[in-house]
Amino acid sequence: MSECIVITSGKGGVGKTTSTANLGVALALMGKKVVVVDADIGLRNLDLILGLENRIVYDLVNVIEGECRMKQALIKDKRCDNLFLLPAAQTRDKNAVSPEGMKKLVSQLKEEFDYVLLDCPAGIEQGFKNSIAGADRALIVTTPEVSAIRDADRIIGLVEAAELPEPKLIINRFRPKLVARGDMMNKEDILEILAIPLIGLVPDHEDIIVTSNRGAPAAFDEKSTVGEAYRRIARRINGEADVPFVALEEPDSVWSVLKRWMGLTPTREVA
Amino acid sequence: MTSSGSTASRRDLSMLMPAEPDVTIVWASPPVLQLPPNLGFEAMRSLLRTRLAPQKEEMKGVAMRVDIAASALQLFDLRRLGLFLKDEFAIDVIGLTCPPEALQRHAERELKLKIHLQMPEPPPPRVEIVRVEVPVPVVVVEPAPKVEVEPPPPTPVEVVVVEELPPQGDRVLIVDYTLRSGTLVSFAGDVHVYGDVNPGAQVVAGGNVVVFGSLKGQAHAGNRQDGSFVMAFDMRPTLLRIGRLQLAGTRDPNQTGRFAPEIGYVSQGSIVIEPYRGRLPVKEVS
Repeated sequence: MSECIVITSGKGGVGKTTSTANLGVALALMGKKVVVVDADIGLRNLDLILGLENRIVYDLVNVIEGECRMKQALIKDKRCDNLFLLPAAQTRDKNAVSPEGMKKLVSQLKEEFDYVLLDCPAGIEQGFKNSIAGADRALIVTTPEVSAIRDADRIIGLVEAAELPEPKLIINRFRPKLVARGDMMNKEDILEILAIPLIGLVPDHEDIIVTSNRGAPAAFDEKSTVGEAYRRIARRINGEADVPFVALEEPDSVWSVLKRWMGLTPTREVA
Repeated sequence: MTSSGSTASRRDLSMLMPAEPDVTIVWASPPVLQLPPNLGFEAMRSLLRTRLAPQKEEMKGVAMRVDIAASALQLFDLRRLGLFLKDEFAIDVIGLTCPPEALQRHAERELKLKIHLQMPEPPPPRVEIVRVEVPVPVVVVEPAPKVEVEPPPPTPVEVVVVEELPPQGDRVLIVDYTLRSGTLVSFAGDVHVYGDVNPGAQVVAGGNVVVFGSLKGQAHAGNRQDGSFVMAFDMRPTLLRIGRLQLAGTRDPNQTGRFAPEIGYVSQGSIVIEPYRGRLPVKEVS
């Protein structure tokens, strides 16, 4: 059974595109046939993160307007046979597509793929409405910041009002050290405000910047902790129950063990 | 489509049969979907599902009016009903017949539906009448004025504003979900929220506001009525207004809740918030 999942956040810059790319890679590595769709028309990025920029010939708007066939616009990933990208048009804007057009496109894609991941643009305007029109469910990305959480709250309301099932939450750029110091909102605070189930907790790591710039998502990297976090989210998306969350802390140093033993730091933050 | 004759016979039948909740379709122009009385939304939905399923094909794409005359549908059910009909049967709801004025205002303003105060009479059944000098009075149905009506927008109703109390029935608007950022509920009577009011959401009531959860957004009580109060299980509003007075948030809405019911009311010309001890404050006559 195929499924269309929209990845959205409301606020910009919290990691929607990075999450979409990594989840696409992780699901494809699990053997699923995946297409990632860039719905951010006019501000396309997903192709850069996946390193497929120089292979774009046709785009999503061309397909919807019937200027090319779906097969011509889909770009196959060079590292993974199951992963495809449908890029956004860069020379158009969000009004080039209607929710109906998007719905049709998604149902067409769903015939061929196990998962259709939609990278939603920031904001709550036309682009957002287009993106959620064809989706079966939504993942909300937020960072542990008040502004991102406020926007996520609004988006959750809109998603629920569009009668999609209860969305799931990805907390991105989580920094256990800051949380332990009390300088960052912890997981429980965020979940209390947003009141939706958590599906992933992604640590803040320089890996993401490096891999994004190189066009090779972290999920390809066996050793990356961020990649591991996304791989686990992918398993949860795929319906695997009881996937444990990654323990978010550096390996114990003598000093930290001693401090914990003396009761100077709180117990380990395991996310 | 069914001819008007069979409609008449179905009507006769329904008069003979014991009153069992049923959905009737009157094939007027536009066709009217009559909903049975005293059913809530969930029951109504399952009834519609079974009733309309056999006729699914012929109803596809039909623009219909819905008569919810005596059903127990609430303000919030209208939009859900419209979406349900659209999604499952591809029926466009273009009009609405309903009694309480509040519902009509809501439907007209928020759902952009045409409101019909009366049902158009179906064409009178052709009956042989013997020895009648006076012809059967024919109800002349004025054709409904043609209005370009859009189907209910796919965007959610985020703003619910009811400025007048319904003449009878509920004086309390019950909101049985959490109000998330960006939503506004405004009602002329009391508003009860069985959920949280998140930061960025707003509740305005002519009377009292009671939140059976965390109040972290804005609440405005008593814009119609003196002596109103705001009560919440966890009182951390960004702004509290009662009548013409206001109290800016003194507590951090981002902190986790403590769940101790508190009440805000007007005492000696200013708003006070104190723990609720199971007794309402004595009303001050201003």
